[in-house]
Amino acid sequence: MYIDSKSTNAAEALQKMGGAQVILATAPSSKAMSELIDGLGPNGKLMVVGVSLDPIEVTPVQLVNRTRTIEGCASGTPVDSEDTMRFAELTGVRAMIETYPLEMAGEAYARMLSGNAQFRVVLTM
Amino acid sequence: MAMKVAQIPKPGADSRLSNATFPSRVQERCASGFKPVASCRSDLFTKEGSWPGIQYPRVPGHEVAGIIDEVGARVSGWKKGQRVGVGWHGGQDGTCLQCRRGDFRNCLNLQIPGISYDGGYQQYMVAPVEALAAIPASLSDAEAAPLLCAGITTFNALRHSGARPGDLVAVQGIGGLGHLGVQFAQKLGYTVAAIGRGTEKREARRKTWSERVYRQQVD
Repeated sequence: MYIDSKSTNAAEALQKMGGAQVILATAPSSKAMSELIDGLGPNGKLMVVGVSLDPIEVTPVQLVNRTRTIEGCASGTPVDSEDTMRFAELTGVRAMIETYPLEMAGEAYARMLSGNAQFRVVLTM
Repeated sequence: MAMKVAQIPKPGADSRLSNATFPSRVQERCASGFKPVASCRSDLFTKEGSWPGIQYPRVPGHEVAGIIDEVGARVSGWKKGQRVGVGWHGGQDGTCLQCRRGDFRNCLNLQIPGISYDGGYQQYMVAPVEALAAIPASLSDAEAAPLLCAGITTFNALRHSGARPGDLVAVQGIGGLGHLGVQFAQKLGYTVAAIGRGTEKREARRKTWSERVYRQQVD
């Protein structure tokens, strides 16, 4: 399902489904991550992979009450990359990409930063 | 021999396309020769100089796929012509306390392509051999590149998250990482909730796309 967190309270929507076991936080918005913590179920985990420099806000009560966890997760080793590619090969998972020539690196970078790319920007040569 | 390079001359400056000399003799333990590269938000660290210790000029790019053109004299296990990729993990030192514990991911002197050394926004790059990942034959370079940072980051986080098949897993943010996270979560057998923001056109497209992924799950 798709939850629009602007028009809906996403944490409440997740609780209506029993609470999330895991929330994989990819968008680099600490505010959006903070707002989702109440959507975690018992023993639920917020896994942070989107990086920004402002703080995530959470109260100890939010964490203690349902035994919740917030965890950071860096990408992984080259063998993890190989596992990822093999799993993608096995299951058909593919990135949707927009390609640009290297000469347009600046434009491609701006497109990526704009958040409007569908979804990953790839430079080709 | 000259090659094309997109380089950040100094922190905050836009990338500048220039010609550079083909990497001369590949150092021992290194391999060179890459092509397509995906653009990650973390390239921001290189462009803005917000990562400590970057030396400029610096070529960004840490999702790189290509073909090995040359290998260093002491390299074993990799050969010219082999298809390989490099991601955020650009090489461990092998000697720090974390490496000695076998925890290479948390190497205290972890090298990152595009930050510690010149990355993939160029025709050829040189990378430490311990940074290489083999690309399966069925994936094109352009398909493989986004899996080397956005893909591994979401897949690895999910498979180590403790979630079990059927559990409710939410993916916040439907962008470069999130759209892969939604697909991986679906294929790993979770109940998936994609969380996006807003109702404008961009989000509407993301909603449509996410729903298409779920229909595949049900069908």
